[in-house]
Amino acid sequence: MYVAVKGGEKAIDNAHQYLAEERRGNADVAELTLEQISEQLSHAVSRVMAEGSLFDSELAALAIKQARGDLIEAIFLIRAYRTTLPRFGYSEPIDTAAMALDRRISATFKDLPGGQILGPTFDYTHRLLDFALAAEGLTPEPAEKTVETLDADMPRVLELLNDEGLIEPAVKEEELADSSVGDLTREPLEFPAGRDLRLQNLARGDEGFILSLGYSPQRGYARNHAFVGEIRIGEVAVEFSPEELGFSIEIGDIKVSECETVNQFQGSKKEPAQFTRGYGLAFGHCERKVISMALVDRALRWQELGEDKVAPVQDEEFVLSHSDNIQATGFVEHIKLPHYVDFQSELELVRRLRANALQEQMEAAE
Amino acid sequence: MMETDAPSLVGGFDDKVIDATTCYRALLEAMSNPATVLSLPVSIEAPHGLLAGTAAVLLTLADMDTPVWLAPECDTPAARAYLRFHAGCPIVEELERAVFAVMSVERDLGATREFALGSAEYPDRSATIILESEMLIEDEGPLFSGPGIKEPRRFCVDEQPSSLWMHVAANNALFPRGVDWIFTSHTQLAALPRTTKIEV
Amino acid sequence: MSEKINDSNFEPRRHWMGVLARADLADLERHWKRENGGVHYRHLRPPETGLVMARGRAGGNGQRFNLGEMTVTRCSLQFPDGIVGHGYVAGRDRRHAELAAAFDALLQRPERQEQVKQHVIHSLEQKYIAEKEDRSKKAAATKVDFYTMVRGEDAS
Repeated sequence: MYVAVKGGEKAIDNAHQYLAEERRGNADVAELTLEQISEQLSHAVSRVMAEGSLFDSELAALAIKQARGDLIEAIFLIRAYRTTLPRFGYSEPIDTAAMALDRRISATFKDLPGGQILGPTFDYTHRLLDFALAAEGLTPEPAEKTVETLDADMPRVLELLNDEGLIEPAVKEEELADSSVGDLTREPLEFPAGRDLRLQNLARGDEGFILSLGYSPQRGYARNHAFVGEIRIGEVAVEFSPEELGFSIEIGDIKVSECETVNQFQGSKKEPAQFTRGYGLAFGHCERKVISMALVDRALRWQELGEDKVAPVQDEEFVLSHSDNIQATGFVEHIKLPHYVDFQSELELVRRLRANALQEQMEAAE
Repeated sequence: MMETDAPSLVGGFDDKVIDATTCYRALLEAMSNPATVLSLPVSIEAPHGLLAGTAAVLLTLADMDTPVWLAPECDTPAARAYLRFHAGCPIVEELERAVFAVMSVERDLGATREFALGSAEYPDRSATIILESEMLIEDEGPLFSGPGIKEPRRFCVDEQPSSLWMHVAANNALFPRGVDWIFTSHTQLAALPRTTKIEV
Repeated sequence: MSEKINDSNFEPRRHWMGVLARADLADLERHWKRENGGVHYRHLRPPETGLVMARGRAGGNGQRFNLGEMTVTRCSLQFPDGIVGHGYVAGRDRRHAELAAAFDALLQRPERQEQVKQHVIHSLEQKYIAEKEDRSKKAAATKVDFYTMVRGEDAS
């Protein structure tokens, strides 16, 4: 039971003022601009956009600044903000095959059409702190450029396996019994959820939670050996069809990360031995997130592929109900707020139980 | 296309937020005081095919998640362009997909059975039928009772609807499933939620 | 009652709306100052910011799902001769949406279309393409070139 608490207004006002001052920190140090955050902390911005489920880098930067760098608090601010805006509609599905690539790699094929493009990656860095960065005014050398742009044709890596029939084909929408697209921001999540709802949930789920879950099948919980078939990072056009126009138009480009895993599959009663796939897609540059997401997506498909359910990562209700860090933090953190009346009743209950027990002991002793 | 649809895009609410909120308040009042006739609280330019009351209701309630079905007497290119532009709602041909349906009160309502009636688990997944009339009249016509009505009261429309009251009665029998009815005219608004009982 | 227009009619408009949506505000302002010809328009829908739910497909080409929302600003306006322009642009810039709508209307005037396409749309598009290409060339410089070593006896 929640009971309203009165009072404390002055103290709360003062706490907010104190918070504002602490957020700003030492006033002798230059204040952060939103451009500095979106340009120089772009991975933080990506994470807030992905988990806030709102693509707008300026708003994400503002949220990060206001939240003093607490990304879950920033995501909370973004989720709250989006509820104030009307929904114009749904886009056409983005075409990631037509992505303007910053990065595209495959762990399964070295010679793929279009090539392996490392892009701006932390991979192959030595993870040594760069003290040169601690000095001010360090401008890096401009990135090298080739004369030619990337190949226009960058086929999906898994389609190469598909040609041989070695990998399960992507399930086409026409083959589904229900072709509607679930939206968990509109309708409460119900179980069993379809893959559409699972992917939406994972795309906005907490990176840490999804990462740990994705790690678990690698360690043997519902073991499923996976390779990264392909990772793509870059910009895609978003097409939207306004009701009043009657045709679709491009409204801009968004940066996304995509990962498709290739998973060993021994075959089952339902399916012959072949490779299967897991899929990850999220806003911004967030490679770790989409690899993890693809692993979890694949694990959640156990029923469809006729596998046994043996581990938490396969438990749809467990995974989807606990992936949202705003739901989670709301419930976890609310226990710090005043619960005086609840606790008072618990106190009385415990006192009564103890008194009863004492009485029984004394009676037994007599 | 752009020349022909242009005139119908004019109109709509003068102030989207304030007018929609005002209309929403009026709809709440109409729904919580069934069979009471209210004046339309805003002025609104409606397209050919729709009454002002209907335009106000749809611009308040309809959006991209609420497919609208228009009966032939309301289904004009102007009405379609207007609703798509101002409400962003899809216009559908299939009765069972409609969340809102608009028709003249004189239309034979036999087809209402084909609209979504909700399920026992989700009675809210049902259509709301907007019936257009020249005038809504209080204190005449059949007697209504139920939640929100202290003393049974009368309500009717200017026209002689052939089967309307019979269908309202039949709808009562489906409770908790069934449709809800909103009545509109050029300047008025009334509602009969499914909880309102009709005594014919 | 179908109001679908056939593809050939809306393709040019689709194209210029896509270019306008990605243009820089400063460029649009500059072009509008030069091209507007003193036209006065009225708002049918003043600029408003809202959300579009972006969708993806499982596996890139399979079942659709909702990826997340993005901010979008739209505006609709009308010229005195009745022509209606619509602007839909990603982000929250109201003026960008307004100018996109204004150019959309201007481009529907048959006597202005070719000229505005050449002076405005083409130049905006070239700039957009140049930026994309610049990025692509940086990515291309990080392409990993695998090569196999020549082995065997006849290395002569």
